[in-house]
Amino acid sequence: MKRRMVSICGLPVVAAILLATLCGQGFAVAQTEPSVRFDVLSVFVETGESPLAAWQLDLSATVGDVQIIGIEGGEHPAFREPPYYDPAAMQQERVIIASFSTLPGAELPTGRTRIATIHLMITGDTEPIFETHLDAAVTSDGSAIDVTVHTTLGMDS
Amino acid sequence: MKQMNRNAVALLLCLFCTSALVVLCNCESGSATRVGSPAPEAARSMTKPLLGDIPLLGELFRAGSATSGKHDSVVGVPQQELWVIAKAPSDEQLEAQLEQGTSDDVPGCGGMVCCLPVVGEDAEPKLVPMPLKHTNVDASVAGFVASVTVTQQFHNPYNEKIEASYVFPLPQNAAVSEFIMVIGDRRIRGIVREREEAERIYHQARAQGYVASLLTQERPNVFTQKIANIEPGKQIDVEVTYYNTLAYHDGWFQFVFPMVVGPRFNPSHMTDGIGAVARGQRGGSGQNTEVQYLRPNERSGHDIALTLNIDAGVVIEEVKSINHRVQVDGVKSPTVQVCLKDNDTIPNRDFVLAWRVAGHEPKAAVVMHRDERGGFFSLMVYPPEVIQTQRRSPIEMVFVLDCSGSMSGEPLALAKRAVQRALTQMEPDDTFQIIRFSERASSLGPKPIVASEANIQRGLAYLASLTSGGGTLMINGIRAALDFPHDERRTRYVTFLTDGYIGNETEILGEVQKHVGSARIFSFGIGSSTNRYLMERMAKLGRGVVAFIGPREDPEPIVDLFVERISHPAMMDVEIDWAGMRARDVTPQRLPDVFAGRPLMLTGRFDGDGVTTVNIHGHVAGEEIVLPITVNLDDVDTQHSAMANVWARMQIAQLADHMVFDGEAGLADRVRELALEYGIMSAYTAFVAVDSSHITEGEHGTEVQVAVPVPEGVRYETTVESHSGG
Repeated sequence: MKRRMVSICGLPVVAAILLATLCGQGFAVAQTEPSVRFDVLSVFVETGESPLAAWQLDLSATVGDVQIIGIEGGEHPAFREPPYYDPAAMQQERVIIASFSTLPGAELPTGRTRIATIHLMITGDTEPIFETHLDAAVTSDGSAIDVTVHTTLGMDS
Repeated sequence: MKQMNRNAVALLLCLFCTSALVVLCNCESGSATRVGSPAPEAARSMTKPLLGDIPLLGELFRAGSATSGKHDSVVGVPQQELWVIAKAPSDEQLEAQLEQGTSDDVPGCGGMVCCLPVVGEDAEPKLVPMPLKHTNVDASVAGFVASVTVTQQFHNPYNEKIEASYVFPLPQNAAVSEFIMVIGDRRIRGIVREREEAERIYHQARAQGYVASLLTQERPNVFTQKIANIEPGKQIDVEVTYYNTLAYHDGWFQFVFPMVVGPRFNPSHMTDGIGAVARGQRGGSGQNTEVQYLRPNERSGHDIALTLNIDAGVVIEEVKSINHRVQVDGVKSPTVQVCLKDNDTIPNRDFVLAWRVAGHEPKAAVVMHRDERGGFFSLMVYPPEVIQTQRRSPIEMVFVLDCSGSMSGEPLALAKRAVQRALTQMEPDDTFQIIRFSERASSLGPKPIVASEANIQRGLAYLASLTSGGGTLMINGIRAALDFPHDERRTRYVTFLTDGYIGNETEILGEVQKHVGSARIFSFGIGSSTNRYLMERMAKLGRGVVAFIGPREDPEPIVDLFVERISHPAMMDVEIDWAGMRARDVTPQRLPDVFAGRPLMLTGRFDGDGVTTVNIHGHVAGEEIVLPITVNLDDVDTQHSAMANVWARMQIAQLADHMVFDGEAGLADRVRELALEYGIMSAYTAFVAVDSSHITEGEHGTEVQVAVPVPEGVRYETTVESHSGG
């Protein structure tokens, strides 16, 4: 009887030690679990005097753990619709997006304009660095335009 | 060490608290409202830039997607969430809530325990506020391919934030390809991802207060839409675009848009079915996916508008709407516009529109698309005229009637009329049998009965005596019909008449595959919102065809067409010589028989070019015949750029069949890869969209599921109220 009582009394102690060990491990894991935050990446182009009618862009994060969770259009009415993306490329967290407008040249954007907003989920504390490559930028008559691309985290220009 | 001990104590407390909550939940018959947020989960590492040259710009119109496959059991499982337990209010408290308008209509009131006062049938329906305000369907048809954009307008009529959840149907062959979340004038394109990953992103965004939406597939024709963090008074729209090929039979094309998921019966051993519960009774079915239904005395403000533009290429002679009042413009021209009339906007039955075009039926119709991935096509081969000139041999007909609770009333009456009509057209050399099933099966007799005048009268009397009630253990009906002693001298036709309101489709289809043998299966979907996925798959497995009889239809002409169909021999042993087309990955792999009035529909890829002749070989009444079809592979119609996604969708459906019937390893991975490559929905992929530009204030709020009306003609009390579907 006494032995049984001892063993019963001992159970919570053993359980507590076991749990404490497990919990300690659990918390150790929790402490190292990376943080998750959300942000947007604004994509701008500078077209100079040329009106932009169509574009295609290849974008990826060279540093940081980033997932694309939404693609929004630009601020100009010609590119307000969310761009299309290539689903096959997306599986490598590399996005190839493209958009076009059938508006007449006079109604197309010139100069600096936001063409897309990419919604992101960023895991970990590393600040992501993005690489962009403009595959194409053309006017409404199909002429290629020399443009520069600029990206910035956040909605501000 | 001290830190570890503190952690250990903290976690122990958490564990004990969790246990206490579980016990409380079990003992108190209280209601549980999920209001907490999931803890951060380790997100997948990624972001590996790969360079390549994929020309997308030229493919902007190449939208695409597909669905199908095995259903998962992931949705609805609470993970690391805080459950707040509330004791059910007393009757007095409930009455007071109802008087104050703070009953289960309002989130945060403990709405999982709702109890409405009983009102008479004549009473005005009670208007129940719902987060789904309106659905708009904008469809266009070119040839036999439909492109449909469905816009669901969610809003928050409550005074605190909510998460809206809506289980809804789409056609079973819909290649769901685009998903856009609309917030005011901002439009965010959703991304297709592996389902678990999409769910993880959604839950993280929801927990941190971002507006997010998630679209998952529960069945090839049942989907769940979730929208998190809808602020009071705000509206969030979701646009879903899909493509599908249309059915054609007996000279008519048919466009179908399902509007409501019918209340389904799930066998007791299941948890991954589609449950049916009353509004506010969340979790009552024990199924991972659940549909809440409005009570007979309730209405939600949810309505639907539908516009369909048809470009047939040839003159459209006649248009008919089966279940709805419509406005039709442009008949007797190649393009027709159809709109739902304003007074017929309750989404409680399938929209079915049929049209007939002018001229003789062609031998075949083809739709193609070619891009850097190669060629994709859909080929519709019409039955050869020789079929019509031949008469059939004696047959053995087995009628199988679903007599479960969901068939009570009008549906069973329709099914009886259909069987009655078919029985009276049987020939003296034929045999027949009638089997009924609900929770168990029974039959008119133990073996096939000769279709003599006296026996047909016996059959009619037996038919008249059948009543409905109980659950839908369809598996018993399948076994009873397909294992029934067979008359080897006759071709056996097994005709199922059911609404298909079951949640164990995979199990049923597996059983059909196992037992079908040489029998041909004809399935008749009975009712206004039948489970078309089940009905079509059963017919496909049985190399037969499917037909539907709605509550507003006269079943007799439909049955007459069925009798006419089986009055002629089918074209059997079909084989195809693709010649210069060099077709591959064609679905269906196992070619069906071709019946009078029913074309053969094939979808595949091709590598050839130029003009070639495809030869369809087969036998009609023992005679070999060949159907030559000339195809110009360079005549690629770019307006059908959705063909790639339609093909991917059909491939996924075929892979899903193999998973069920063959249990082949690695098929789930193949489905996932295919769906991700083509950017379409499947059981293993999902669309997610997050607006990460703005955090809403406060907790993510209570989940409010959109309750829907039971389909027209279905009795609430014999389905939802019984909590067993049926």
